[in-house]
Amino acid sequence: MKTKLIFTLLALLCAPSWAGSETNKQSTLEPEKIVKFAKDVEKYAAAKGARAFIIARVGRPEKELPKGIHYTHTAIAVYSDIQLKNGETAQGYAIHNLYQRAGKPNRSQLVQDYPVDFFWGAHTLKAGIIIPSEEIQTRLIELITSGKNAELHNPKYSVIANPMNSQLQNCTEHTLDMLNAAIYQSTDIEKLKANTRAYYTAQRVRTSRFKLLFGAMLMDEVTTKDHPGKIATATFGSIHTYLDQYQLAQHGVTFYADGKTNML
Amino acid sequence: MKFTTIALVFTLCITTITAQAEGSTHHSGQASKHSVLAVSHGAVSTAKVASAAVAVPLMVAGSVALTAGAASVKTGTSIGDLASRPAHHGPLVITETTITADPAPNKVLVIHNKHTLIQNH
Repeated sequence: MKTKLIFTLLALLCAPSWAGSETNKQSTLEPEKIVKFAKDVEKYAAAKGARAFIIARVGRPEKELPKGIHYTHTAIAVYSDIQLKNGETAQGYAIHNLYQRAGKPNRSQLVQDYPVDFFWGAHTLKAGIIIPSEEIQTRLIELITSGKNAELHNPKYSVIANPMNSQLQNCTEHTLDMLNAAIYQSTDIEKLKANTRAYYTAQRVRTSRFKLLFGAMLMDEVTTKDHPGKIATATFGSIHTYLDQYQLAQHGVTFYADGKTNML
Repeated sequence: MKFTTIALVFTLCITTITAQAEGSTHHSGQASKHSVLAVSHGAVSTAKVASAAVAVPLMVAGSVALTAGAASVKTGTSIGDLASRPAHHGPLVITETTITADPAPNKVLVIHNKHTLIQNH
């Protein structure tokens, strides 16, 4: 009975943090602000001439994020001709995401959406933007246009997936795999993972095994089974460090709702 | 009392991992988003709101924008050729229209019914 009480309390108190993948929770921000912010992010990237860039959002209270992790979702935005249902054609960014499946948080699917969709669930109006070099942008567009990005998708999802192997994948690892596919012009996942191990440093998730154990017990999307040692995962910040280290990033900023930016 | 305390300690301990677990949710109130944007777009923004049918990546080289795929065939220019061209460095045009993806199939009927009710009142 007492054990049941403990687990019931744990489950109840945990639910609000991960229920976003299964329920249609309301946006915590005013729609007008989200609409404006999403358009401002587009205009910022367009003013820089970005044809493809890495975009990130904050979907949880920042104070709750583990040390060193500043964003909760990362994807690739591609400048596109967008045919509207009213027959018009407009230019803007389409965002290529890996999202958890509704009702199956340990599985994912590839979904294309738009900036207002992307930021609808943001907890803070703050965007991470990395504009890769021109050549990497072109190769990312080629990858997406050819549909080969789908070859990099692993539907087995873990929020703390180990990017050094292909057992499980999350949104940021998928973004990293796309970048490496663009860099090495290959979708051979074993080759890409070998290069990831050689050149990329994942972000340590600084939390105890004890916490991870309970997370794994209560949440389908949390598992450590793909980590042979210390837990490290792909993050927006570690992707910027990687691209910057090899001179493959031409611009990286944190973009705020007031239009101000901080260089990464 | 003791067990309640233990439960609370456990809960606090796993807060960090659950916070990170927002992960890549697709997102959050997509159905309500479409209702808000579709029903009250006049109040939401002076810009109009439109649903997208399809998006095709644009390759931009020099001052020429080419739609990747069909248009590149039309112009006889492959994307591979474009990669070796001088890259575009100028600003790109962005529509003022707020473009949104359609809701999931199981949400479409709900929204449609809601709009019908609003129009009938």
